[in-house]
Amino acid sequence: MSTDVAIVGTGVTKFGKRNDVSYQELFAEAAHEAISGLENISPDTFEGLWVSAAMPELTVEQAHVGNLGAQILGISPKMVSRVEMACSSGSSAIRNAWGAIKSGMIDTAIIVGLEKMNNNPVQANRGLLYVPDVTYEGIHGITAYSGFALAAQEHMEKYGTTREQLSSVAVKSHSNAAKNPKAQFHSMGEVSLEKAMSARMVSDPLNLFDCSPLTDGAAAVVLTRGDKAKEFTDQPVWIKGAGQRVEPSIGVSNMDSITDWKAMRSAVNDAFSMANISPSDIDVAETHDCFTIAEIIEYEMLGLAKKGEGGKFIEDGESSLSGSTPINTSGGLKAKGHPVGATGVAQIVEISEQLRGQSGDRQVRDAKIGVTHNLSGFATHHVVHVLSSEEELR
Amino acid sequence: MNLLDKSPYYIEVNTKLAPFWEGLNQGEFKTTKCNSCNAIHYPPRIMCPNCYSDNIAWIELPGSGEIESFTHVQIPPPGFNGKFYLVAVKMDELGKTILGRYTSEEEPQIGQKVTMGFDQMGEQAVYVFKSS
Repeated sequence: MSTDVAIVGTGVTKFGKRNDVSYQELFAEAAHEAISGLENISPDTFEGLWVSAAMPELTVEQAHVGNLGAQILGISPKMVSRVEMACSSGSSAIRNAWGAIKSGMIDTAIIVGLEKMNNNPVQANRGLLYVPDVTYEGIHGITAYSGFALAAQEHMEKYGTTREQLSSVAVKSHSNAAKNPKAQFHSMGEVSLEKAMSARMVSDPLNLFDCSPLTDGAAAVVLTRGDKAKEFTDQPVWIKGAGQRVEPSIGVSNMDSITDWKAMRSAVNDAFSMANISPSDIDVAETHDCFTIAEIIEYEMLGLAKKGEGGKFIEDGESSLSGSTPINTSGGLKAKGHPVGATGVAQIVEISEQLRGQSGDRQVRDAKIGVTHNLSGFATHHVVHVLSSEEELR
Repeated sequence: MNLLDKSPYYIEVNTKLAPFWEGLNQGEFKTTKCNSCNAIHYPPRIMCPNCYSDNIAWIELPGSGEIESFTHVQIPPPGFNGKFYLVAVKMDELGKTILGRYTSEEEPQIGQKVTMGFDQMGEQAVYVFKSS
């Protein structure tokens, strides 16, 4: 029995304001795209179901969405769960399914991540306020944007990261989104550096163009045991490495640093060691750019840039589509959008499409090894996956 | 209780960790210390996360520290009025970084020494930071 896990089906909906679909319809759109191209599929195929959803109680008045997913799919899986890890729910769900397949408990699983935020933005924002430690940090007025603003200010002071470098991340994200028809800001097209730099301040030094938006969207992935992959598709993508680490801290008080994320370093190390890759092997990556400063720190934590040189990495164009390591080719959370429960699953979809050569205008040439990184909180929890177009890397 | 009407800041104050909230109401920054391994905790705990003992004592901390980072929040979350400064402060004695609002007139600076003041939010006082 192969111990590897293969991604055989992927689907992602149009991201944005989706008043044309209900929560259940949004789920079905993504699931249909993931399943429709596969051979030998029936409801009995899916022995596992994980639904990644951060705040359906708040925005669509629905709980128990793991069971809801089973109804939509018409399946009776022997492992089923809803996963909630705030912004990293999606990758956590993928990891749970991966572990269940690796252990032999199940052969094939479907993971659907979704969020509908724009039908009730007040409640969606409230949901985001519940993510830090509400008792000991929330009461001081901390929000996601002000938390990452603290990281940005410190990074600028310590390492000389500049306003231009922060905004350059947004410019790149919008440029990529202009090539991704499913991105929330696809029709906005290219955004100039001047426009990104002069946007309304949200929490100094982060302005509106440093922040990801509220988004409706869903993504789905079908995973199976490696030796069964060819039953479903002739173009599987392989999960060669996986890592997850959470700080012993839900806020900043028990983190060593807000600009150097120990938990991410550990998750990256675990995933890269398992896959036997080094940072220079990465052809393309989707990283968690909830705020522009996050992407800059992630270049460093992934080992693509030295500590403190993340700003230079974007300035030099290394992470652009034509650069040495294109990052967030989908447009990222910034411009593709950030439907919280869907994000981690959508990252896997984007990298899988890149490795299968299906990314159209934003295709990275000869992409063979891709990485996803999904975080939550003030960078207190991280999940990293290494994907490959080949079953054997070397 | 909700600290402010319709706000999402829900706290329970009449619990085993009540001395923390009572301390704030009296202008004191208290937290717990483990009698078994001497670890100082923040947030306060009923179980030590270092040795898992429940033999816990209360201590008062000086409330002073140094600003590690700051931000000027321009879009206040529910319950907060207008723009305000938020600071991350490396606390003396505690050795951890904690967050709070900064209420002095002058703009905060990284490296600046600050001390705690106390501000009422509904029925409960919370700490804030001031230039020292």
